[in-house]
Amino acid sequence: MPVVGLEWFLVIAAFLFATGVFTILTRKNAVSILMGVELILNAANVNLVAFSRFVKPAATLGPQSVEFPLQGSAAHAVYGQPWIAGNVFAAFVIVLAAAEAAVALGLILGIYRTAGDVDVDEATALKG
Amino acid sequence: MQLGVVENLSYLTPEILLTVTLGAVIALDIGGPKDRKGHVARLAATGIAASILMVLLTAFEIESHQRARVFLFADSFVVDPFSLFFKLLAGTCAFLVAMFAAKTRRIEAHGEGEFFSLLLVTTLGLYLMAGVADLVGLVVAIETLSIPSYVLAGFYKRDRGSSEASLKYVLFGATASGTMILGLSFLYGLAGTTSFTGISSAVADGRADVLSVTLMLGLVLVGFGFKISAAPFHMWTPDVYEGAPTAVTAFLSTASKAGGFAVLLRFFYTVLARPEAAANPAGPWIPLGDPGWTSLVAVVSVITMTIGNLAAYRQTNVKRLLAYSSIAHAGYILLGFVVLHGSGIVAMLFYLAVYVFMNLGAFLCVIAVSEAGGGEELSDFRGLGWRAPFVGVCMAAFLFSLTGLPPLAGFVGKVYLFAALVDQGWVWLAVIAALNSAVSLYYYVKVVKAMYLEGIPRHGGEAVPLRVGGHFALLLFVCLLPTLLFGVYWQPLQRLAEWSVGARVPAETRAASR
Repeated sequence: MPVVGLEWFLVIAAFLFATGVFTILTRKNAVSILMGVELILNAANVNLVAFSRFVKPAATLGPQSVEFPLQGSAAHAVYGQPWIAGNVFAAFVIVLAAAEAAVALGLILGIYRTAGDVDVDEATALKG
Repeated sequence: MQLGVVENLSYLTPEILLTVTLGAVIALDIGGPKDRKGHVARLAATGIAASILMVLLTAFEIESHQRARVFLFADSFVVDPFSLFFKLLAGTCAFLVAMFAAKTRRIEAHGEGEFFSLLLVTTLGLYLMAGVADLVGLVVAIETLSIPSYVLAGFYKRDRGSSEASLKYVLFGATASGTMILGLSFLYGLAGTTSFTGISSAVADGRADVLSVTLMLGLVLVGFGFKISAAPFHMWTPDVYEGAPTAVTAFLSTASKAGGFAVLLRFFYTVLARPEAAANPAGPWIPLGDPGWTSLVAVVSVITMTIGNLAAYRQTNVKRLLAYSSIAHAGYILLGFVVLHGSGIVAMLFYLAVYVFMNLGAFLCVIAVSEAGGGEELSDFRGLGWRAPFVGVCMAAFLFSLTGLPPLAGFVGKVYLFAALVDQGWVWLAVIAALNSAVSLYYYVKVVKAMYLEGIPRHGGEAVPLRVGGHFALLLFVCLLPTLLFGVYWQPLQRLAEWSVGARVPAETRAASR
């Protein structure tokens, strides 16, 4: 049985991204486009979590740590183990995706009330 | 020295103040007296003004301790002159926009509380964008700006144009930020850290492959390009700028764009370049690995300014014309980015500061005309110079300054940009940019011609004067003053820009160079 390595996850993420881009480019319905965006964001999440599991953490934190060493601070608990950063990043992206979806759906609902349609091809009041 | 949480927070007073104001605005809107016309606007404007004051105090604090920069919260946020410059710019924009919006009747009718609380959140997002030094913080800051901006663009709920603008904005914006986040995830994977300096050192010592990093920065550039409306991610700009409430358009075209440039500069100039002499960021910078990305940005800049200027030609709606003009200006400002020299960054900051005032002023004229009963079409501006003389003069000054005619501030800004280019051997780029600004004269003059030379619309033989309120006249003057002043006496602004980049020129050489 083959070992499941980093590549497997990256391929899945790339596939999700491609599907998302395809959805955004081909769909006319605003809600479908939004679903494509969610696919892209989830591709990023798969990437982040996979990297966080497989990639060796950076040995140093960069030059600025010399000025304010982080040892012993609360920050060190997180950044002393940089491999957790990917998971933290993914958690943030999930929250942002939710916020973005809430706002976008609200705006789409508003459009539906004024125009009676959420087809982006019909949104032609502004042109030039 | 180790900073505790309290010391961390003491450097964040501007942001904290904005957050507190936000809470107060929401509380006042929900629980305040029924007859509270204008209270919310005054509270929000006061909060923003106070946060600007705090930015200045932080600047003095940093200067008095002779600290180049202070890192907060596990290196994810940095307070340095560069971030303070952009906070100052964003705060000023937000303050002026809040003042415009306070007297826009339609915004009042749609709910002042909502408008000003969203405006405060976008301002907070801009403040955060100015100081991020970490991928996670970058994403959070950009989204803190973006998400309320989508709502602001669609603020006139029942208006077809406004809701369409918000739809286009949110779909383009979400796609762009999704692509950007994907690129950031790869960067994290390549470098194994989320801090900008960490990624930079990974690139420098070869742990992260330079070519892969550059490719991923292409994805990241989608997100930044969207924010500054650089080609080919500019398509949303004309529609959103035309459909959104004019006060929001003014904000998006200045503050939001400045924020985009702040992260663009911070990100690229931390991750992929470093100063040749570490102590002198105002001098030449050397790219880490392959410098191909500067040529890429040069091409993007040329395409952006050319598309903006050519498309602006046939516009008959003044807001749409200014939208294309702002695309062109994103192209000009990007010029300073490609030279890889401190002088380029200084020129960018200088131009951004000048651009903010002239562009806000131009949009303010549009607001003043429509509030006085006119419209946003070019035909509504006919005879404006005679019907509302002060607004006409101001609009002409802003437009000529946007073109880059002396003795206005826009001219000095362009001179700095082009000089930085020529100094570093990008002569062809400077020539293209100069040709572009010559071309742009045509459509700016079109508006001026309509205002002065195309007759005055008459009702039964009587010219119809436009009554522009004193509030707008005062605000116009506030925008006009820097546009004129920095055209003849620009040294203070230039020194501020140099300080922001981190140049610590000894006093005597500074005096000698002038």
